Amino acid sequence: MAPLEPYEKVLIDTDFLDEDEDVHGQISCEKCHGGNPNAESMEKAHAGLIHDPTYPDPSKTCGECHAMDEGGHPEIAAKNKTNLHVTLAPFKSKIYLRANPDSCVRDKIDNAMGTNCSACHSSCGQCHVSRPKSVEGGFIEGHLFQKTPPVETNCTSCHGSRVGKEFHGENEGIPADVHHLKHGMACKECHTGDEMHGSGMSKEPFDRYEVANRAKCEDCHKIATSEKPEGDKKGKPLEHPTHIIHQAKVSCQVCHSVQYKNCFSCHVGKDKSGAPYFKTDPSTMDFKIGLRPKTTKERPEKYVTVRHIPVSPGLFDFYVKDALTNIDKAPTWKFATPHNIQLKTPQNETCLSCHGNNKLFLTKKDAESWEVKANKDVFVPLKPAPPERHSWLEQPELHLKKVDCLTCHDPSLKSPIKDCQQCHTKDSILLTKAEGAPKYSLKSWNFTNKELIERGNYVVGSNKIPALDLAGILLIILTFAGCAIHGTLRFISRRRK
Amino acid sequence: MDIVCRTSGAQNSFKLLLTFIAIFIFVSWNFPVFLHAEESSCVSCHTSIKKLLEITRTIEASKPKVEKPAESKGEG
Repeated sequence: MAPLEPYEKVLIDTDFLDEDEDVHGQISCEKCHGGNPNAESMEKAHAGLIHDPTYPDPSKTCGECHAMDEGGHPEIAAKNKTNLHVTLAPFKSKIYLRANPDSCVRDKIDNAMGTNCSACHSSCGQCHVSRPKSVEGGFIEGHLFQKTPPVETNCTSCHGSRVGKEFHGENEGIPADVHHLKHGMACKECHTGDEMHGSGMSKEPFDRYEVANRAKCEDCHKIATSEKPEGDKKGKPLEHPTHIIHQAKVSCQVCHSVQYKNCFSCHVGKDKSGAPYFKTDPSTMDFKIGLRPKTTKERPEKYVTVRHIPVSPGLFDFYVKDALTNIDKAPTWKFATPHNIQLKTPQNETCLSCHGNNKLFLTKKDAESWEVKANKDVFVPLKPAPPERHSWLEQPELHLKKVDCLTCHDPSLKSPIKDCQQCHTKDSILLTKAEGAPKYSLKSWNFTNKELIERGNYVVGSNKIPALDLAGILLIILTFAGCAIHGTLRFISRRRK
Repeated sequence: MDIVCRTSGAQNSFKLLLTFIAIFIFVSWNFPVFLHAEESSCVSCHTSIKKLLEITRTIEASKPKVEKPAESKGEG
């Protein structure tokens, strides 16, 4: 996004002064921004000017009206103290976790973060009035307050490299998120104002995923039950049986996300003029499933998509050497929620697209030597391949190829079916329960389980025709009956003679 | 006759008063923003493209020339 021309950044739309257009225009400029409107020169008028009167504390500006809701609960400005868009608290806490405990080193890290990292914060004004300062600011629409910040100028000006490009399909060969592509949804549809203004928690969360009112897929998508669950009005109910099997074990993105961006090796510094800069290694597109080291009641899924974050041992080398001596205290492959959701993905094509497909899982091989310890709880211990796990079956490969997994791993049962006779029988469950099972079966005049054979399945005892069996039995009975009648008649005729 | 004259005089005064009130309401209803904007020197500059262009050009010209800063490389 190109920055605005200097004059455009500060040009006020006259509509802003119209009460019907924006009530904020009725407040005098100096009430929020300070300065002296009666001064004769621009320099004097701008003395003491506050560019963003809403950062860090909006209580004297926005807070005058937007402090509490009708019930006395913290509303908007009152949540500011623990709003992660403002405080960037988890960012700092994660760096501190990895940092050298020496206080001198910590001071230098603080300085580095203050110069290079902390500029990425937002504020009431940097969402609702102007572009964020980190992208050189400037009014969004002539100082008219925007109830919903525009996606392009505000949301993706900060969340652009990963989330923005994923959601809009700007990564080569990767389609846009189905919510955007098919349903034209914008950020606010999931990330509501309530979430954006913070949870109002008394304590700052250690991790951004701890925020209580964070957007969740389940807010709209519920598992289909006989009773229509709340929320189905908004999202498609989850009817496929695999949702029951995987719920609370596997995150939605594991099945419904595609390749996403991973970043590596960030180094920050200052140039000769003192301007901050950063350098990262080229990003890569990849898809990795890892383990979530700490699950919570709200997010119990153990298997999740993980993204490599750009932290590296030399991140702050420009400012201080050995800054991150505890780099192995936090993973560098981090729980992620890629924003490129698709209904059908390579990994949800069949069960075996994921189960046994080891390249999808994060292992030691995916990590640099310095980050192996940091990610030890994220690596997935690989399980034996499906044919090996099904070695108790006769011809496991054939079974895996021919039989739909859900036939035996029935989500409605506590444990999978292991009784051979459930399938290898005249009334095989393959005919009734399996996905795509035929609605009828001709058992009398055709081979038994003909339908299964036609579908390429093999069932023991399938090569017989019950009608022929019946005819044979009848023939034998008739033969015996004929013999008996013949014998009886001969016995009677001999006695008469 | 006197009574009639007095009555019409009172009516005229009343009509005049009503007119003043109507004008006052109209003015106060429609022009507070305008008056406020007129009074504010902030607004007079910040709503004028011409003035802002002149000012920002002057500011840019007066800024000391610095070496091109190191550019960030990669994705932030």
